[in-house]
Amino acid sequence: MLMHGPVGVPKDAKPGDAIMRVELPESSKYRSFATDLKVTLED
Amino acid sequence: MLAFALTATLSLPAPLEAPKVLDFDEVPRAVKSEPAYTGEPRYGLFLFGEHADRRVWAVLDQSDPKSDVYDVLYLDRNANGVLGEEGERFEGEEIEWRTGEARKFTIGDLVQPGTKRTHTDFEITWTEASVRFKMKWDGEEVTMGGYGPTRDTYASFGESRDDATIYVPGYDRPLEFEHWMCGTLDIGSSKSFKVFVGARGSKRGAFSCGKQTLLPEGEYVLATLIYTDTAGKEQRIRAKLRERC
Repeated sequence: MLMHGPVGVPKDAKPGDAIMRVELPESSKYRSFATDLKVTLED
Repeated sequence: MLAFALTATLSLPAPLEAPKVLDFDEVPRAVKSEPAYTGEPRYGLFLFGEHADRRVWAVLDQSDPKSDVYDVLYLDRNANGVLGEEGERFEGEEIEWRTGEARKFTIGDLVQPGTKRTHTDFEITWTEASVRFKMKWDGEEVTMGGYGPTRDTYASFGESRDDATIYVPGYDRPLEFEHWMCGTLDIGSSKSFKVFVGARGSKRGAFSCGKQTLLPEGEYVLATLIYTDTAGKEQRIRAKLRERC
C-alpha cells in the first residue's frame, strides 16, 4: 500500500542531502522499523 | 515456596525474541544442490517468517543460452536447499510487456515453509529490465514487489547466490518503508510525500509492498525530515502521512 501526506521544507533549509525518517507512531497498533530514506533538498 | 517458584518459572514459555532489522549480508547463501543450468542463471531469494529465517531460492535459467530471454524458473518451494526437485521447475509464458520480452511463471499455491499457511496465486514475472512477483498472502489480498523509488530502479535477479536479490514478501515482520518518486524536495514549498508500506529487500528496487488495506483508517505514518539549516544546525520537522492511494 501507498501512504502519503504533505511535507513542507522550511525556507532556511540548506540545499543538499537530508534524511526522511519514516515509521509508525508509538500509538499505532502495528509494529515498524524506522526507515531512513535519503532525499535531496533543492532551491 | 522456592519449589513453587521454580516450578512456575520452568513452566513459563520461553520469551520470544523480537524481530530485528535485517542485515542482508548475514543471510546464508548456501544451497545443497542446484540443477545443471542451460544458460547463465540469475538468482533471487524470498525470505519468510517473523525472523525471515525461511529461505526459498528462485533461479531463472535460459532454455536457449544464445537467447537473452529467461524462460525457465527453479523455485525451491519446500525450502530444503535442493533446487529442481519434482514440482520446482516452471516454464515461463510469453506475455506482452511495454519494454520488450517478458515471461510469466505461474506457481500457484505456496505453503509457507515451516507453517501450514498457504499463499496463493504466486507469480514471478521476468522482464528485460526487472523481476516482479505477486501473491495473495494467506490466500487473501495481494502482496507484491519488487518496488523501488522510481520505475527504472526496479531490481532484477543477481548473477550469483552472493549477489542474489532478496525479497521479504508479506507482513509477518515490523513494517518498513520506501518512497515513491519523492527523492527530491523543494526548499520553501510543500509536497505530498508518498511511501510504500511493506518490507525492504536487499537492494534498491526489491521492496515488497503490503496489501492495500494493511493499515486501516485511523492509522498513519510518521515522517520526520532531518536536515541542516543555513546556520549549519540540524533540524527536524514532522509530518503525518494519513492519505492512502
